[in-house]
Amino acid sequence: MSTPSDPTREPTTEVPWERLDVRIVLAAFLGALVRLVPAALAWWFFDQDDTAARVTVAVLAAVALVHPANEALKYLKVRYRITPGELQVRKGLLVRSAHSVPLHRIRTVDITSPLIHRLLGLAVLTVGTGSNLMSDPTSGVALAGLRAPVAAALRSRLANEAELASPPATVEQPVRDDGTVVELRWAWIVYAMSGVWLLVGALSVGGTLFGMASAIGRGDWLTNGVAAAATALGVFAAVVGLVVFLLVGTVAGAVTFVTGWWGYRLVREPGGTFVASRGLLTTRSFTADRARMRGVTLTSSPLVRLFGGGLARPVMTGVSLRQTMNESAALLPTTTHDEAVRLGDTLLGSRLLQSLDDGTVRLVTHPPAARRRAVARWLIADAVVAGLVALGTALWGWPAWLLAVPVALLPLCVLAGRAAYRALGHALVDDHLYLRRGVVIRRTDVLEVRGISGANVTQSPVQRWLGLAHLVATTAAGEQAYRAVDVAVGDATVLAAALTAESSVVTFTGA
Amino acid sequence: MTTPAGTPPRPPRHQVDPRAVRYWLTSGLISLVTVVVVAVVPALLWEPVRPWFLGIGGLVALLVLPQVLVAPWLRYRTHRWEATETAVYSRTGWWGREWRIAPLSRVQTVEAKRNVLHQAFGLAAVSVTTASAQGAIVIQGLDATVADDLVAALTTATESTRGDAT
Repeated sequence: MSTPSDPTREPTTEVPWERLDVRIVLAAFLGALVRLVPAALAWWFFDQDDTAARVTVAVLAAVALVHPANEALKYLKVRYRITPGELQVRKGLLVRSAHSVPLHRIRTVDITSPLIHRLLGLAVLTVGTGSNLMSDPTSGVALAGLRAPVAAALRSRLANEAELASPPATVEQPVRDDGTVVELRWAWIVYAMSGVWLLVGALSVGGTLFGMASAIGRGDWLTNGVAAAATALGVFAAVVGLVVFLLVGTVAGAVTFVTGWWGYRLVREPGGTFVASRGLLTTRSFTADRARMRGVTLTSSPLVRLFGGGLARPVMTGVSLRQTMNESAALLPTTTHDEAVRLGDTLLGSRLLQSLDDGTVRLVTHPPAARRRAVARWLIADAVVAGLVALGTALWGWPAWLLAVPVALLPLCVLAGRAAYRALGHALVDDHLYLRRGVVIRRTDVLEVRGISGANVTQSPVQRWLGLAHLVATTAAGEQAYRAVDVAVGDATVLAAALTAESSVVTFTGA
Repeated sequence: MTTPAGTPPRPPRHQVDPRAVRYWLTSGLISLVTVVVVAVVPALLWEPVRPWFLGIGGLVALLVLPQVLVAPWLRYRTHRWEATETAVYSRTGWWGREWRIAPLSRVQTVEAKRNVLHQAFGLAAVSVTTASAQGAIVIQGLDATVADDLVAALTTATESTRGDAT
């Protein structure tokens, strides 16, 4: 992928080397000031003798000096250029190292611009290549600090060079003349408010507040305040706590949605690449080539499902680990189910999800033994809870009525197991593998067989006894392995043979 | 159930080398001895931590024990491999079972690996990777020359089908 070479000796010297923009030094200084000034003010205002606060201010002051200096060094060290075949990035003053990324290897281009960068007219351009994202940390090359127009020009140039192999979409989806596939709809904020932020929002906000208060030596204010409030409320403390928890979670979800998806627009460019741009403070623009998509995953959590929502995510090759982690590679927000189906199909250029909804593709039901296994799993989980509670009552004097909880959960566990079984399904239709599972988080994966690089059939001893097996399709895209849970072992065999075009692994000796 | 609904994939053609049993047994014994030493030495030297180290060490040793008592022989019965005209095919496992198929058109690297223990028994492991991080096939316990021949054959076979493979 990235081969170290001495670029100064290469014959393509006629292409001049470019530098990053010098304003990255100013951006780093302003970024550090944004953190230093409030901390210093708080320290000066509240308590100048507090050690924790003094250390915080000292560290932030050091950062305000070191970070700009580091960026200045980067300005001197980093140079890049696009030769006819490669994107080359050179680093270092005395010892020089160089990355060369072949243009045909480039799968995704992503431009991010945090608020301070935007005020200074700067942007960060990240290029994703198709290597194994876990094993190769250099799979993404980032140019941190270009002028925004330069970044945009680079993006269109790289995208144009890279998308030569893009096949035409088999089914044309309704797209407006200017290529806009979809724009932000504010109703979708409901799904952000009822999604995962509902649970983690309060924890995240609470943690941040406590962290900030501790940094200026005032952490005990918060803990004492919460304790005092809990005592004052008495028996209502739990109820009020729950309401505050959910309220903060809802607001956090809404704020995340507004800042992350402000001005969202998904555009299909003439060549077939998709560009998603969004963001209020930090703007992001993510470019993904249609030729890099190997399928689509549709997920929904219980509340989102209740409100008729769903999230479609394309299964792509060449998204770097960093892009996955900071969500800059997201092309779509959680939308209504129908819209998610339409958008997923538009990205893949074929009515894959739609054909599930209108019944053109029917999923194969898994054998009844799979239901027994699903119910047994939930019952085992319940038995573990019962065992822990019994241990608690015996050893640490927990109230005995707690034992009623696992008993009361028993019918729920049976229902959950049966629901988990009903969620299972798979099909292999027209070179597409459909997989569905999940009782809490429901997920449907549709994969193109051309993107599948191998198949595994796995059986635990229990599965051997029940005649079941997991079928795992491995791929270079997305999550790397996609699983059909508790398929009849013979079906798993036939599927594995079909996915790898290796019919010899199927035996008919059991006839 | 009707055929082929109840049939697992057929066994791959070749069994691994019989010396693999000794290899697995030795590596199991090495793990067991390591666990015992790590648990017993601090327990002898420092009294306050003795029950902890012995308790946790005993538990881990109990989990490693099947690796010495049954796993080598069960593995030898299960582990099989085959290079068909178009794919690499393996079956592994001693507790559960796993069949893995990698079409040659998707294979990216083929290599024989030989650690110290492999060398002591004249064995080698052949590792075949695809573009998927989850797609590697490792065939343990092959005779060293068989492994070299397999690597050579697979390398020739995959060169003709080299593409992007993603």
